[in-house]
Amino acid sequence: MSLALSSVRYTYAAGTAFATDALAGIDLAFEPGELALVLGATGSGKSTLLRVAAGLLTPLSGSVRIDGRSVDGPLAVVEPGVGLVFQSPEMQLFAETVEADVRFGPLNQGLTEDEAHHRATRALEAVGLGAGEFGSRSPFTLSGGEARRAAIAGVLAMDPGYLLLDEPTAGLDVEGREAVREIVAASRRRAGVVVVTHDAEEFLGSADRVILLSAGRVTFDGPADELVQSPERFAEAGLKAPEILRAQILARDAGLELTRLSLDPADAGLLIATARRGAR
Amino acid sequence: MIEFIDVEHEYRTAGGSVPALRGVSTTLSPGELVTVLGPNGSGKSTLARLANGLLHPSGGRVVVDAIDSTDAARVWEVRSRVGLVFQNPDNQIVATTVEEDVAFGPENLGVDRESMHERVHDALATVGLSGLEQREPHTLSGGQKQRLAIAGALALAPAYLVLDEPTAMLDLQGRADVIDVLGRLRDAGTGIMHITHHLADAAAADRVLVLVGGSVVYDGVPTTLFADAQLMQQCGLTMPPVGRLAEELRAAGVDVPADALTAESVVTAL
Ligand SMILES: Nc1ncnc2c1ncn2[C@@H]1O[C@H](COP(=O)(O)OP(=O)(O)O)[C@@H](O)[C@H]1O
Ligand SMILES: Nc1ncnc2c1ncn2[C@@H]1O[C@H](COP(=O)(O)OP(=O)(O)O)[C@@H](O)[C@H]1O
Ligand SMILES: [Mg+2]
Ligand SMILES: [Mg+2]
Repeated sequence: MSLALSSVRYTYAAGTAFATDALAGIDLAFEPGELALVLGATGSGKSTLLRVAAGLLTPLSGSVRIDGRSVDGPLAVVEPGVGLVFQSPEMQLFAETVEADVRFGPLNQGLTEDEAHHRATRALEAVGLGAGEFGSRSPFTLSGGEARRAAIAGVLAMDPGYLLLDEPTAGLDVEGREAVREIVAASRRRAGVVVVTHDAEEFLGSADRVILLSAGRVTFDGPADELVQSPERFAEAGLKAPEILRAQILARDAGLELTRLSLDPADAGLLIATARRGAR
Repeated sequence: MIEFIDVEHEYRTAGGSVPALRGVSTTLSPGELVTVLGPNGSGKSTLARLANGLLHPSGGRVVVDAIDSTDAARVWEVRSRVGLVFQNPDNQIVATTVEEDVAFGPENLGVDRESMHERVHDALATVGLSGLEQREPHTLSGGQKQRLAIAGALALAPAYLVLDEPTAMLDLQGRADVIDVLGRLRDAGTGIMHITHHLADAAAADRVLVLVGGSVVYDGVPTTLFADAQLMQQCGLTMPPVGRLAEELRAAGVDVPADALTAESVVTAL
């Protein structure tokens, strides 16, 4: 059981002067119940990877298989399929009410009105937008954070086996980011979750696995802690390491002997304080 | 100078009116970098759109270098003095190639061909989009579109630049690059208003303006805000992990300044 990409290549505008190799041979398998982070510089192919994994783009070569089945065409209607929450998804809220918007996906999957309503209610509760309070509101009256959560609910309502989120915390305030982190934590119990993000610090602590993407290739695929302990991997992928790790790297460069690196501020503080005592 | 004087703003909707700004007074001077923080819906984008006359205040006044933003005869003067980078870069794309998109603004201002080419070239180089001149803007990735929007504003070389969450879709390095560019423009005399959700961006600012529910809850230097835990909470702000590391070190007796929100500034204190 997995969402598996084998030797996947994708080129935009193939055969023209503007051909862009966005994915240059990707081998990845995402497992149910797993939280995987995908990090990569702007233009490294992250959104393309998610669109291919969700069946919205057909690879130029290679294959995408979901739980062993080969996939062609959009997966949104397959069950348990792959649900993709786009970058800035709130731009796609379109219905008269929030509830109608969230109900749209399940209806499209062929569920009855009743079932779809039930799914929508559950999905809205799951993202912390009580259907009673928010269900009848127009999507256009929601705050930035609420609209993002409503858009995520629209995908959750389809009950995907794999949930793919493209930069879900971008542009959200502290409260909104916290809400998205909670949704991700809750969803991974029901589905495999893949999060593309620039806010590595927000998710590294809870991720099972991190994938670094650079120019359409995977340059790292391993446990989060392995990446934390070898932060030079960030630079290899053209990325800046999270600030708290960079502080510890610089401290090391300045001669402090840190036994390991930590994402946790209290822990990192202790490591640095201990190393300073040792240095005296 | 851009002056916001007792500015009120209400949006009229079918269901009534939505107050977005309530009695906001603040300024932006040439050569000053002001970071604007605040929760979603606090009025930040409204403030940005008021700054260049795209919106008119429902109460109070917005004055740009002594020109009232509602002065119909001088609206283009206000627009050309105040460059605006929108929150959603898709709203800013006007042309069918990257190059033309950046040239669009200066062309409208009547910049001649020679210097036009140079401006466009420089702006694209500054944001790291060289080589993509002939691409159709809608085929760019989200972060690339954001860089394009910034290039478009840079090419106009406005006296004031207002940027509405310009780095939301950029990676850490891309964000650091933008902050760098803003610092250089500030040093060259541009007045900059930078709206962001990243507290660390504010460390580089001359002043920080925090909006909550359409009102100003803080307008001052970053250090005073960062050092005041109660005020931070009132502003709906939390320290990023490196800031919390700095707090830990302070508690352990290391003298780390309150505005140390970069790895460099924390380690220098060691
Ligand atoms: N529709 C398209 N046509 C041509 N090139 C594209 C298109 N969409 C994306 N690209 C290019 O493919 C590369 C990867 O894009 P994307 O997957 O969106 O990157 P990321 O999400 O990592 O920022 C980029 O160089 C981008 O410019
Ligand atoms: N076009 C509009 N019509 C009605 N209400 C709006 C409109 N634009 C913004 N608002 C409302 O005004 C308030 C401030 O919005 P905005 O300035 O976009 O905040 P921010 O940029 O801080 O997220 C919010 O309550 C928002 O819902
Ligand atoms: Mg993307
Ligand atoms: Mg805004």
